[in-house]
Amino acid sequence: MLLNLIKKELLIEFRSKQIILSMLIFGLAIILIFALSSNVSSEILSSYSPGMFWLMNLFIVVLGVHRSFAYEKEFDAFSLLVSAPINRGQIFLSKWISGFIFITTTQLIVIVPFFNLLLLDIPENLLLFILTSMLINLGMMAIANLVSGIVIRSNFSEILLPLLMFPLLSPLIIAATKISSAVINAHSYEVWNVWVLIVVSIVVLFGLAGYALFDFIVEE
Amino acid sequence: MLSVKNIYKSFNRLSILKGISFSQNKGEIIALMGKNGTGKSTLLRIIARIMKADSGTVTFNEKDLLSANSKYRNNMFYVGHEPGLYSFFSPIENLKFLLKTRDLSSKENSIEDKLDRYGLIDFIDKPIAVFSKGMLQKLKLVQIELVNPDLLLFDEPYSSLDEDGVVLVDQLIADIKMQNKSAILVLHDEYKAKKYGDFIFKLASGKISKKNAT
Amino acid sequence: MNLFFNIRKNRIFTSFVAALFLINLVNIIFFTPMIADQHWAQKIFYVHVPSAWVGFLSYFVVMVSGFMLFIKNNDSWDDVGLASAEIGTFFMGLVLVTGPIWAKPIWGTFWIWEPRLTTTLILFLFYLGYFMFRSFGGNIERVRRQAAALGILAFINVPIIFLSVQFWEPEIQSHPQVEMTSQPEGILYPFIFSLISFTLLFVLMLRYRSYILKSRQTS
Repeated sequence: MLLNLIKKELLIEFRSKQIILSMLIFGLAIILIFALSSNVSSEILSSYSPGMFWLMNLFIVVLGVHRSFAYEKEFDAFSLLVSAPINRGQIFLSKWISGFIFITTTQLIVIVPFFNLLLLDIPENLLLFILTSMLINLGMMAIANLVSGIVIRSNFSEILLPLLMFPLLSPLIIAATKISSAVINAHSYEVWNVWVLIVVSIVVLFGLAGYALFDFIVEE
Repeated sequence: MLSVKNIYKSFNRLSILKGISFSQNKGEIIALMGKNGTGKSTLLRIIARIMKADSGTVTFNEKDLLSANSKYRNNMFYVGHEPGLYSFFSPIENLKFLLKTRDLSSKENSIEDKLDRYGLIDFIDKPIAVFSKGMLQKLKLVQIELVNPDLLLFDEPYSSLDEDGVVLVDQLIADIKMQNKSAILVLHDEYKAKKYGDFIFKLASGKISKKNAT
Repeated sequence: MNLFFNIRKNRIFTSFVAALFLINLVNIIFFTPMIADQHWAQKIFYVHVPSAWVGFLSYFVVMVSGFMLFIKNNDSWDDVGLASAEIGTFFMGLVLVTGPIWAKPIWGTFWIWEPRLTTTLILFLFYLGYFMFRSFGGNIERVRRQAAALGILAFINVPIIFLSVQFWEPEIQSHPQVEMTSQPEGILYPFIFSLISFTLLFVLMLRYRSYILKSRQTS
C-alpha cells in the first residue's frame, strides 16, 4: 500500500508539475535576492554560503509541503484517504518519502545556479555535499510533513506552517549548516560526525513521531 | 450489523449531536433526513472515521469502526458532498487508485464498462478538474459500483443530477437492496426516502427519531 | 475566580504560596549576599533560573497532557495542557527579559547564543505559533488534539535543540552562574528556596488556570 501511495504522490506531481516547479522558481528568486543583497567579499560570502543554502531550502520546503497537502484539500481527496482501510501512518510515510524526492530533485537543479550566481566555487566534494544534503532533507521533510498534516485543515495554514515549522527545524538547520560547511571546506569526518548523529536522531525521532501521531491529527 | 451508541459531537462548544444511538441490520436502508445544520453529514463522517466524535462508539459486524485498526473499514464506503478524488487524475486513474486502497483488483475493462454506463466514457482520460458537478456526482456512483461495499454511507446522492442521473441513482439503490447490502443515505426528498428507505431517521436538535418508511 | 477561592483548600494553598513568594522576594532583595563583580545584577539569578525551571517544567506538563489526552480521550487533559502552555510561555518570556538584564553587566552584551537561552528562545517562538494555531486553527474539538501533538513535538525536540546549540559554538558555554554544587551556602540555600517557591507558584497557577478553563467549558 505504501508503494501505491508514493506512486500516487509522484504521479500527481508528474501531471501537475506544481511542487518542483514552484520550489525551483522560488529557489532561483531567493538566490537572486541573496546575490543582490550580499555586498561582501567572496571570502565572507563563501563562509556564509552553507547557511544561505539551507535558508533557501527552508523557504522552498514550506512552499512544496503546503502545495503537497493542498492537493488533498481540493475535492476533499483527503477524506478518501482517511476513511480508506489503510494505516494512516503510511499516509505520513508516503508524504515524507515523496517530499524527500521533490526537495532533493529541486536541490540537484538549483545547486549549480546557487554557487554560480553567488560567484562561488562549486564544492569539490559535490557528491558528498549532495549525499549529506539528502540526509538533511529526510529530517526536514519529516518535520515539515508532520506540521503540515496538523495545520492542513486550519484557517491561515500557509501562515501557521512556517510559524510552527521553523522553531522545530532550528537544530536541523544548525546541523545542516555545520555539515555543509565542513564538506565544502573538506574537513575530516571526525570534525562533523556529531552533526550527522544529530540529523540521524532528528530523522528517527520525527519519523517515528509522525508515523505514530498522524492517526490522531488527521481527523476533523 | 451497524451499531451506533451515544455519539456526541460539538463544534466550538455548540452541541450538534447529543447522544445519537441507533442500529441497522444487514440489508436495511436508512434514509437520514433533517434540516440543514442538524448534523447529518457530521454523523456520516463520524461513522466513516473522517471526523472524531467527542464520545460514543460505532461498531459494524461487532468490529469497532472508530478504532485505529484500518482493516475494520474494509467493508464500508463513504461518499460525501465532495468527490473525494484528485483533480489532476483522470477518472480511470482515480478509480484505479481507489480500488488499490481497498485491495480490490482494478481491471480496466470493468472500469470502462461502468464509466460507459454512467455516460462518462468520453472523458475517461481527462483530468476530473474539468468535470461539471453532475459528472462528478455520476463518478461517485461509479466508485460505489466498483467498491460494492457492505455498508454504504452516501451524503445527498441526488445532488446536482439531471433526470438521467436521478434514474441512475434509483437503479443503484435498487441494486443495493437486491444484493441485501446496507446503506445510510442523506436525503431531502421525503418521497424518495419512503420509496427506498426501510426506515426514516430524522435529526433535529441533536437527537434522532426513527419511523418506518411505509 | 470566586468559585475557585470558595474551596477552602485552594484558599489555604494560595495564602501559603503568596506568603512563601513574598518571603522569597524579601530574602532575595535584602538578605542574599552581594557578589563583588556582579552587584545587583546577580540577584536576577534567583528569578531567572527558577523561571527557566518553571518554563521547562510547564512544557513538560504540556507534553504529558498531550499523551494523556490521546490515551484517555478526556478533554480535561487539554485544559491542563493549555494552562501549562500559557504559564510556561509567561515564564519563558520572563527568562528572555531577565536574561539580557543579567547578561549585560556580566557579558557586556544583552544576548549571546548560549544553549539555555537559545533553547528558551526557540521554545518561546514555537509556543507563540502554538497560541496562534489555537486561535486560528478552527474548531476547538479538533484543535485540541492537534495542539496536543504540537506540545509533544516541541518537548521531544528540547534535548536535540540543547545539544545542537552546545556543539554549535562550544566556546560560548560560559554561563555566569557557577555550578550549583560549588555555590557558597549564602547563595545555594536562597536559590533552592526560590526554586521551591517558584515551583509551588507554578502549581497554584496551573490549578487556578485549569479550573478557569474547565469552568468555561461547562458553563
